[in-house]
Amino acid sequence: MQTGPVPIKSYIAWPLPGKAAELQSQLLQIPGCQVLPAENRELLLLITDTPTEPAEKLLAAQLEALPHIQCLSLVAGITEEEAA
Amino acid sequence: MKRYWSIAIAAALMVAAVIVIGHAIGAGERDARTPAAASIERPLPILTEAGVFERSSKGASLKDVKPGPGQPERHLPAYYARRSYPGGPPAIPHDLVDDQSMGGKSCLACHLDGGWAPKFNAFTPVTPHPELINCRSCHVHPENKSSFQPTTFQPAQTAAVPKGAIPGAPPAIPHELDMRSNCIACHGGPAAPVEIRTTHPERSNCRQCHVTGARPFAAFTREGGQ
Amino acid sequence: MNRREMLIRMAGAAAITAATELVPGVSFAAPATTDSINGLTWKKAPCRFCGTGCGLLIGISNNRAVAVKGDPASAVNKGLCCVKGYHSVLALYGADRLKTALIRKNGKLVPAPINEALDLVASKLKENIAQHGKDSVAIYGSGQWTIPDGYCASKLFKGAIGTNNVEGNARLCMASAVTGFMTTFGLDEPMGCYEDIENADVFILWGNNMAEMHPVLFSRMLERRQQSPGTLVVDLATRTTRTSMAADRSILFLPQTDLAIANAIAYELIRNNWLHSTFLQRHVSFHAGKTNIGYGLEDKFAFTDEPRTIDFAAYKKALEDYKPEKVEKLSGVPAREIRYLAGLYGDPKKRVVSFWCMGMNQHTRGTWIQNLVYNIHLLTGKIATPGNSPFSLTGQPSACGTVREVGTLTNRLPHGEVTDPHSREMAAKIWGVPVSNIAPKPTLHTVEMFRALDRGDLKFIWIQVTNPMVTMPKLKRYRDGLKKENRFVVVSDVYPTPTTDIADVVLPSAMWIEREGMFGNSERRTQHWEKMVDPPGEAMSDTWQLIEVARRMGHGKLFAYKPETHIKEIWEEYRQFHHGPAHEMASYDELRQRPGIMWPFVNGKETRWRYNPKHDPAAKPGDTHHFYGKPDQKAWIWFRPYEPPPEMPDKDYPFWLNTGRVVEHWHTGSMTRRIPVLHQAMPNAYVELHPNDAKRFNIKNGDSVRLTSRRGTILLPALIDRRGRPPEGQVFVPFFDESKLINELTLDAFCPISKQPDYKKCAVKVEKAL
Repeated sequence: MQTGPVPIKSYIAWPLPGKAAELQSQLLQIPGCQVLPAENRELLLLITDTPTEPAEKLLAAQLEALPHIQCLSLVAGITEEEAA
Repeated sequence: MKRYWSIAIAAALMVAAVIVIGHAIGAGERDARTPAAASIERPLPILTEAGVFERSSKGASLKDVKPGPGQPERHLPAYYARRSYPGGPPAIPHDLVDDQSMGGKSCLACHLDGGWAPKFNAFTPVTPHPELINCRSCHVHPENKSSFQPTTFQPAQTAAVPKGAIPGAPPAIPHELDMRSNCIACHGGPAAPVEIRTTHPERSNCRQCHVTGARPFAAFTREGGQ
Repeated sequence: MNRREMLIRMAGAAAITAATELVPGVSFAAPATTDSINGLTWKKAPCRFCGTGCGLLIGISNNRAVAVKGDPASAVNKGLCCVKGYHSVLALYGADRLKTALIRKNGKLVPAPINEALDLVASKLKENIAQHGKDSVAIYGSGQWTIPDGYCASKLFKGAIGTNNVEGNARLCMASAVTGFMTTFGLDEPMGCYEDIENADVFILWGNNMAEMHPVLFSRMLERRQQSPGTLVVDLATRTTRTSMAADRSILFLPQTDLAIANAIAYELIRNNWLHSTFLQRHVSFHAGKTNIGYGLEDKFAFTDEPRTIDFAAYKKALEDYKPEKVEKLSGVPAREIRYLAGLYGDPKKRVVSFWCMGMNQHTRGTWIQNLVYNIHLLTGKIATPGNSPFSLTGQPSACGTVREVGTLTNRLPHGEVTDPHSREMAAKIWGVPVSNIAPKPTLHTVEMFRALDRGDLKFIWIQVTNPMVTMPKLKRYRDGLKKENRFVVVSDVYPTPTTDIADVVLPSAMWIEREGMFGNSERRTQHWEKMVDPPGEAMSDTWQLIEVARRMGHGKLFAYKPETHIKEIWEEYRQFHHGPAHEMASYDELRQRPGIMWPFVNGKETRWRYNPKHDPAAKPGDTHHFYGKPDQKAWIWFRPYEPPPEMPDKDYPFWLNTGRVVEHWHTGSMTRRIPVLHQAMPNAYVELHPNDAKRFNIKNGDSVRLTSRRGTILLPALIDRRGRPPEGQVFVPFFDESKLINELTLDAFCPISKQPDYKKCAVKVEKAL
């Protein structure tokens, strides 16, 4: 289990059909979220960076509550220790 | 950091599994629609994939083509000398058959399929992108070796062929694939430089064994695992 | 970059790779940095050269650009470049890059600290304004200016100083395209986009050697033909070129007769009733203007058109003079070929794109010929729908983005004309200057600007990113003018050129990826790039040079941008000029993320076809089209006659001289000639002759030929049946070579409406030099 700093995580986010733009703008309003939209498909990459465990929990709840998301898949989580 | 990169493929496959499962669940609950079928009007070609099988049917016929006695082979230094930097379009090292014609009617007459060119005492290199026929919009013919002003440009390093991960493993592809996704064009047959010529041109699906080089890649971590 | 940022990148790279494996073909806007195989970092930038605006990925290693590839994510070029694009980064590394400022002392340019040079520029500006008035100073830029460069130039000169003496090389390049759009549609820039290529059945190239000048679009067109058999490419030109070789049909016409041919096509469309009558009724009105409008050869030439509305019957009657048989005699194009062209335009089943560039722009009737080609598309209703597109291509990377959209021409403001009070008020408000600062009348267009320098009405000129001592027509007069006493010439450039040679101050510029910027291409696409490598020595971006001089002149408050964020601040300030559905631009943050965005950009959506309510948020829904640029909400068909050029071959000067470009070199070659492979492929200018003419003069390939016009004479090596072949009685010379200046011979006649000179037609004599 993670004990050190919160890992930086990246996800693939599948929006509901036709909702990629809305999802992107909602994600961008959540602190600690960076978004890379695909140009030719309806999918987004999400990279999250939170400072503390509570912030990470809050973020998870916010992501959970997003209406336009169909599926969110974790790709990677990296901590500074691991990458060293 | 190395260990994270080395399991890139494993990570991708695992993610694929996660998505397939995740998506199946999502599909049951919501709109059953594949996410890839977004609102695009026409399918885009997969640029770095498009050429893999392009000339694969020629591969088998190249298997036993070996340079004969007195037929010089190409080497990598000559190959790189034609380019301003690795990946740059090579200049044309010979006189033009017809200065005014389009490539489709002149260049491709030789560079589509290659073969021995007695006039140049060389095997003809094969183009990896025969669909582009305005050849000389990228490939120019130097008239002379003069210089207007010297340059201080330093090109990118040439690609080094990586060793396999373990002895006997297939090496990864050490270069970018843009405009060069057709493997056999440069790696198959007697025109290929000796150093990068494949021993097995008849096996057409090159990238079933050779993956694109070691991209920086993060570790696969199992969320919540022990 | 800190550790955390690196982790973010790693996580991002992981996600990209995973997504690519899962969804074949998915592409992402190139993230700011994507690590790659050989320790390179690839960053996105639009190409530095032509107006196509190809997306490049630049390989950066150790603060140096070391490789290039086409950006597969770019909608413009989809991964392909031309030879200039592939070698573009070499243009940064010529051994003679200007690294310090130079100041002329005792007749010689000597190195000086850049601050001293900027002080001198500011004090000379102030001194001239105080002594001779604000209209004694001028700035002259080009379509190579980034958008922030042009914006600061306009704000400083039009807003702060209060003179409309702001011009650019674009006046020599696409002013006729602008006046063509304005007179026909009331708004500048194409209605279509490059996607028209994948939707068209017929391409008609009007005097446009695309194979060499817009090679990537040309390849896109050939690909369309390959994938859709039956697609036709027709090359309508004055000279046989590489484009003719690839075309399905090559039609040669005599110089200037394109005016008559276009009218003959319109005549045939009407005669056969190949018209789109509902479209004509709803969306088109008919007009005529002055005739015998002159050529601008005399100083202080002035012209104002007097448009009058006519009806279809009057238009039809005026075209009676353009029966194909009659036009055949004038143009040399057989009547059946004219009917063939009319048949292509008139076939309701065929979607037609017309492409043009310098052939129609550099024309003493440049505005007229644009009107006439639009007429053909309007008569048939083949406009503003996918694959139906009259398409004006541009030659410089930001001719559209900077010169046309920012309005760095004497008559323009970032929004609208200087003569329009509303546009002046808007500019004054956004710039934070009193509206009285902005002069309500245009002053000097380019040719007249250089004439004013010669006469002495203009005392100070600051030339940025262009090389007028190679490009001005009738060059000797203007070179001599600039060299006169009491003319102060400042030149910002990256290499020594014939223009820096005559400067009083030379400022070293940071070029392209050595600074942050934006370009706007031919299809209304704005593209951002970040700074990727450091500029050499004291080199400074043109934007920052302008800001530094503005501050030294006491206008610091108007230019209070921060060094780290100035491009963002300038962009967001400039963007206000274009608010609204007809020209909304993307935000800075959106531009950073994507490989390029087409305006109008409303609610996150690009507009691919303007005036088409299905695509254009500014067009009123309920009909197929809405031409909202003109007060009558219609597109204007103009009757414009054929008029001869000012100078034609005669007994003493029996040859037509045509000038132009080659695929290897860009503009005056000051960058591309410093790229070894391009220089070696095209080391010098040449004169191209028809083989029969060559035989007549006993001239062989490589022989030295003397060309003489009424204005000058030069020696050139002959090139026969190599790159191209002019018809008998015509010669062609490229203009890139600073040691073989063809513009010593050209004529400074211009289109009276656009004020753009005609570099394609004058009379010369040919002699074999011994």
